[in-house]
Amino acid sequence: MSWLERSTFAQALRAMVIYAWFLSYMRSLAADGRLAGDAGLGQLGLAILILIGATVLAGVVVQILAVILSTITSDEKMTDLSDERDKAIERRAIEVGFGFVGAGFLAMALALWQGWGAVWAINLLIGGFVVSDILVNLLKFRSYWRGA
Amino acid sequence: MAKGRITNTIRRLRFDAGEMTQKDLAEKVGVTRQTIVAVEAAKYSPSLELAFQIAAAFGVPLSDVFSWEKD
Repeated sequence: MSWLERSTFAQALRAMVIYAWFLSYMRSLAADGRLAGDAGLGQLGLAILILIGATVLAGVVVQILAVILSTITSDEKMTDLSDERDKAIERRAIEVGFGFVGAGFLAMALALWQGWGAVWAINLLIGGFVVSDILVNLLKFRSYWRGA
Repeated sequence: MAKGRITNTIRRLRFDAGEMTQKDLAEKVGVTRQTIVAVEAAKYSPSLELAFQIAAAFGVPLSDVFSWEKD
């Protein structure tokens, strides 16, 4: 397994773990009644900022760990890590991922139209982004795994 | 566009080049070994530039390495 396969798989896990935390955090906020009204939107905004920060930070940490582990466990050169096939794999995966971002927007619009609260409608949008993030990494991993 | 598939003779060319390894070929053309594995197995169609580089690495014309077969 190349370092790119490992790091792609690790990034998918990273996205799942962070979103699982986000969902449990949202549930605890909802249980405490802190997502109600305009104050709820403020809480959601803070939670989204934490989600973005944690995603970026964990993404960097996972990438650094993948490079360090690969340096220790294989003789892969870290200077030539990515080539045209990697870019093609990423492009194909991102094309699918964009579809889920679009689905998130659509779900948000439908939820607002149906009278859902803004907090839950925005959560559908976030869900679209997260599913996209997870799917992009899993599709990339699948391509690497199949050698395509 | 007519459907077809790109075949290649990289395995034989590597054999003729003194059992050149996939890693050696990858280093010569500046891609990862996994990309050479995928190209050789006809699972990935290389860019025109990479195809020319692979042919140049063996010192043969492009048509000696890659060919296109209609389905």
